[in-house]
Amino acid sequence: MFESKLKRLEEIVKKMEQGDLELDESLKLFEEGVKLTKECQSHLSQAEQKVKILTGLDENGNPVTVPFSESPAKSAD
Amino acid sequence: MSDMSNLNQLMFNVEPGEELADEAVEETEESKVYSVNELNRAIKDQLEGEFPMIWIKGEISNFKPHSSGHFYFSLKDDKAQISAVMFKGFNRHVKFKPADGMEVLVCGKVTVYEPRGSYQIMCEVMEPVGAGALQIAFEQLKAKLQKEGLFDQARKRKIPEHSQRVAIVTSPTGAAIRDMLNVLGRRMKNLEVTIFPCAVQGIQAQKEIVAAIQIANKIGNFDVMIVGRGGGSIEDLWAFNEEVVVRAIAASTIPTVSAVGHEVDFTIADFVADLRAPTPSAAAELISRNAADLMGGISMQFKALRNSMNKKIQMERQKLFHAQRQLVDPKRKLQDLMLKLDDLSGRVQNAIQKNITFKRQLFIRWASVLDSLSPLKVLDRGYAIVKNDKDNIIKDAKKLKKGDEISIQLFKGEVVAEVKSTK
Repeated sequence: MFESKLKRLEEIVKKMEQGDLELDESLKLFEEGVKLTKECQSHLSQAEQKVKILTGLDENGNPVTVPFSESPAKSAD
Repeated sequence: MSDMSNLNQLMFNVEPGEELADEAVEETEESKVYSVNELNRAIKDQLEGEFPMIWIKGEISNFKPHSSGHFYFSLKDDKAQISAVMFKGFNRHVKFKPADGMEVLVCGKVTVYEPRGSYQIMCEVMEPVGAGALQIAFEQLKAKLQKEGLFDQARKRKIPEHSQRVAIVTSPTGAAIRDMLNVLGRRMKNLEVTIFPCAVQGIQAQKEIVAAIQIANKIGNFDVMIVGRGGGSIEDLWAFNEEVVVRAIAASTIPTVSAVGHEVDFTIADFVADLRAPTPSAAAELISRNAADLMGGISMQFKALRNSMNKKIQMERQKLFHAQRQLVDPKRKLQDLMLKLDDLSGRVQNAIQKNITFKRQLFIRWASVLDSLSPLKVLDRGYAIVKNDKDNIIKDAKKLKKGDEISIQLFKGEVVAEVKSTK
């Protein structure tokens, strides 16, 4: 998702830098590029770390997870 | 065991002659006469009391692992040898495979087998001399798996540059998980991390690590898996040298990064993993991109985008400017025309003026010529013009007869007269 957006952004920049586009097309690409920039930036600045820990398997053998809250390490292993 | 019976003969066969001699001595010096059994018992007490638990260094020879699981072998040096046994209960702690020619240090006690009068060393601990036991086990397993092609570079999968879903197989209470989450939190918060908890040292470790790896694979849908633990002694890290663990990593369908101990620690898991990270923190760095760097990259892309757009606009503006310059302002054209008109009309006027002047001069000239030719000028000189009553100029007297009225024009005035005669 993020990766493909980033790739598209790079592609747009390259196209724009070649500079042989119609103004109309340039404007369209520019608009798309601005949108992608914003999306990528907001993706990266998502502040919450999502960590789960496996607690076991249910009766069907499917994994059961709960959010992992880091407790101070008890040992150095 | 044939070697043991040989040894028995070597060491403790009591020659019948000697026995007789002993008895002879006993008889003469009132010494005690031992039965064979008594002697062996006495020797046993003596020997086992003297050497309850000792360390012996020697070379293994005649090594025979019995189907019962016990090891039978001899320890020797350049001058002597002693038979040795290591029972199953002890030898399962030996991490390496003993073999003939191997120099070992064993810890054990000397035992005497009374019925045969044989003695041997019963080993409880065996360590290789030089390289440690674990080192040897490590090399042995490494060689074996290498031969199987488990370390082949061709088997290694690429670790995705940007992983979204991350599986971590490690202890949930260890330093390693804390370090990894710290690094990931600092670099790239936006990841889904699932921890597959397992013991990473101790008896349960290998089983739990294998199970964790297998569950992670069963869930699937992970971009990358880290298997590891923090630093420790070679014994602490040993689970990652266990064949089952190594094979579980090799069998993983998820690209796997090994992260065991410190930079200097190498485990077999490292060789079989798709990528070896020197530490758990390094593993976290390897599987994540730095959000700050990416942000910078995106900002740069955006700048480039904006510059291109500005350049494009500038270019279009330039084009427009040029086009505009080529368009003639109608007002200006009008002015031009007016100027031209002024110019032309000026020139016309000039021309006309010149023409008039010229004509006037011409006229004056001709007028003067004309003037000189005027009959009036002749009259001035005393001539007169005669006309009949019909106002015709009379140049011939024959045209007149007596009594005709004529008018005579003089230089000044006119005279009317009557013809008296003609000649």
